[in-house]
Amino acid sequence: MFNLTTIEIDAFYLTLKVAFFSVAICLPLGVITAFTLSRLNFPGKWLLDGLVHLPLVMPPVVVGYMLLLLLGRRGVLGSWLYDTFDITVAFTWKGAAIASAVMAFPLMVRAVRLSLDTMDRGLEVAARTLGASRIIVFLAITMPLSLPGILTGTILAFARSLGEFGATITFVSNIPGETQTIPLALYNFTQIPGDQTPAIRLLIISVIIAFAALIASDLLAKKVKNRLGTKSETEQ
Amino acid sequence: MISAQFVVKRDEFLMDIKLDMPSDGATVLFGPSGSGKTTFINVLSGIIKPTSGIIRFGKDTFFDSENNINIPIEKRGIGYVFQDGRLFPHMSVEENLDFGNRRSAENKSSKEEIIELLGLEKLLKRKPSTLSGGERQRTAIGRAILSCPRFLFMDEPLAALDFARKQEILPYIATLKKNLKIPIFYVSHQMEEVVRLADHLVLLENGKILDHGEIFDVINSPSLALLLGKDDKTSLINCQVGKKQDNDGLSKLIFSGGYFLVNQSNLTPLDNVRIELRAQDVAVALEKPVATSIANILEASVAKIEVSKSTHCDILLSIGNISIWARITEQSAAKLELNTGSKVFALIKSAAIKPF
Repeated sequence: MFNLTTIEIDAFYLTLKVAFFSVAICLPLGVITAFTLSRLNFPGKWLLDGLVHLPLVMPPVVVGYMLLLLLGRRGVLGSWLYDTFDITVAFTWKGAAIASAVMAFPLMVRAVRLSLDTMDRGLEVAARTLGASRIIVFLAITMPLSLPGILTGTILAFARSLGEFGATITFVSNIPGETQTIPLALYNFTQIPGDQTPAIRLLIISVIIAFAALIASDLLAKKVKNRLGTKSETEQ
Repeated sequence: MISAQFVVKRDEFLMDIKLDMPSDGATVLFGPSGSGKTTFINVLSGIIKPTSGIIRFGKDTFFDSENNINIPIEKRGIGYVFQDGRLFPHMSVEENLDFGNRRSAENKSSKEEIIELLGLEKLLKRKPSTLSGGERQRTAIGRAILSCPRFLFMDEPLAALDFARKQEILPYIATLKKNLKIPIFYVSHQMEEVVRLADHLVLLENGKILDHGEIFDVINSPSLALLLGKDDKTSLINCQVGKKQDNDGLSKLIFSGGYFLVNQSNLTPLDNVRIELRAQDVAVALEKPVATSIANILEASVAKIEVSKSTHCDILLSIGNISIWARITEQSAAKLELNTGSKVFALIKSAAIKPF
């Protein structure tokens, strides 16, 4: 029962790899986008806001197809990437990471933005009266104080990437060892009549990854809370 | 000289200011809530960008709408103590203090001094969430001063505190005012803070300046009486504490033209203090009383008589170079046949004189 086949081991590592790189793309871009939406005013802000949220409201398959048109070998951006840098993302694990990142992006932005919007802006002004430039204020005040939101966003993005299916299968197909993450492998196994043990093994692995992520985020959240002083420490 | 000439338009609110302020001592901005006190100092400090105008601090132009100059907050060399403290919750008290100190080039050595002056030694490792309101405000004051500002702004720093905490912090601010040689702009709607700290007073209402000038003049201005809703007259007098205590434990407070005797033992000899004297605590006699419990009997001449709507008169008495107000009933004024220039004696109980 617990002897994993190559396909399952590959799917396991690939899922973690895709989720990791998906979060790695989402995190910096998400924080910058959230900051832009929360703190800056500029014409066309509604357009950026809409674009960011698009993957949340569109069918994942549609997003995957849009990515294929855009980033496929013959796509607008894809052909340029291929001609200039010799990079192919369609039908590779990189494409899977991009598809996951696009799908997870609105979750990341929303979580970070919520925490930026509810933050006491007066603290940023106070920091500036103490001589701190805007960049220092962002790094020393805004970022640390929105850490709970950034953490929540990261967990949500990671979870979304673990479960991403529709956009991934449309954009990069279901290639064992290259783009076949756990959900895609599980889907494959359920399509084949007969022995269900491989599918159940993948199910158990999924549950374990999800639990590990939840516990890790809980521990981190406690640490962050302590640092922010929201939990009152023992009176001296 | 600090010159402010600006307009702020915001929704229903219009602020139109034209004012030159001296660049020494404490300028207190006084007025009811909604009068634009905080907006005023936020414009000076750069937190609010006025619709138009010019702001100059000495030779530096901070804002000039015509020439497109708007120096950002962090480059104005200011310190700001907010009403709510605004300590950074993720930093300890010491890290909060260091945040501004780190960025200032000058006198690093003063950190220990300021910590001692504000009594922060035992708090350095604590997080702001564990501090009391008074401790928080002391930290905020220390943080602002340690950034070595050229101008200090304080927006009702005591407003969020209860009476006891106010009494705890006010002396610190008074001491700072004496020790720091930088101009302070202080927003307040408490007369206690005004009489204690102000060198200059600006009265604001509805975004307009009602009156402004030296505290000794403005303290009795009709505009202030109107703002306060009462016409009590108060005299503020600068005095120096006498060299040693005598006269049965009474201290001498010397002013140009005489001295007051007060029953206070905590005064430091040769210190400069200010006293507040309410008009109703001053009585007038034509002849020097012989047998009396009143410790202060001063020769004075009547400079002005003001008959108010109610049944009393306010009499401005000249004693040496200073003037004090006395409030007596109309009947008394008639009985004494007081006229401008009359020679009288001012009678003041020592308990009525509050030095600070």
